[in-house]
Amino acid sequence: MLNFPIFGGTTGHLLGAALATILVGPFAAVIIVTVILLIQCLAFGDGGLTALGLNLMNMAVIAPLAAWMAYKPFATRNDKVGVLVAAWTSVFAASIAATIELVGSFGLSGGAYGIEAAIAVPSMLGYHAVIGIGEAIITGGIYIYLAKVAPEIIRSRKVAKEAAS
Amino acid sequence: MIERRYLKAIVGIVAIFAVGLVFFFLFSAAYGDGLERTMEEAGVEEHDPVYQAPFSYGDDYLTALLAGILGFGLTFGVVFAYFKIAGKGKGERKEAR
Repeated sequence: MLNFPIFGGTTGHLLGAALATILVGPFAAVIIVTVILLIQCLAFGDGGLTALGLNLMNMAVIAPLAAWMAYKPFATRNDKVGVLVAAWTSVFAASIAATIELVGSFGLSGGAYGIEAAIAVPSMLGYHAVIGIGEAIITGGIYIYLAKVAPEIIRSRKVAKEAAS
Repeated sequence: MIERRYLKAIVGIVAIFAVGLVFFFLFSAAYGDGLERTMEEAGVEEHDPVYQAPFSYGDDYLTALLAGILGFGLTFGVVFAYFKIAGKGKGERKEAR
């Protein structure tokens, strides 16, 4: 887990779902991020075992698919902008899912678990809107570097080109 | 097996992260992430974990670096094995974290 600082003493951690999606496609990315989250949880105790199901849903399934949907319209026109948009969208989509889960959990448990909507919605979405920018900067940097030194490994380009022809 | 320039690209990215990690530690190690911050604002606390992991990320540069290398190896190994078994044969994946 790579944390980077945003404002007010808060950090974001790099998800990598968008990067994986752009390099190997959304479905392989689902598997890769799943493995990453499993290892982070089982080997390093990052993210509880009981939260693993929802973490996988948010970060390993929703994030890569959101990244792919965001990237696709840009792929043939401006892939660099597409990468930035995909990275931001992946983080924000995952945070929307997490917010729904927190608020839903709060409602279902009568306040015993989760976080009430009045706090969860503005905080989660606000912080992650900024964290998404950090994700976009790091993802974009790696993408530009890879596009320079090893352009043929970026699978999304091929996929987008095939779809266009 | 792995082409030279791929190796160069991997080394480049890993080196950037290895150097960058120092700065990440300076600025962010003490703070929680977006979710933790939200939990703090809501006054929600984490329960005791039901599962104890064998390793941790460590709390200084060296242990974190070792944890990163271990995590990279584990992730690469599992993903590579999966794609081998799935018969796709394209498990090469660089994940610098």
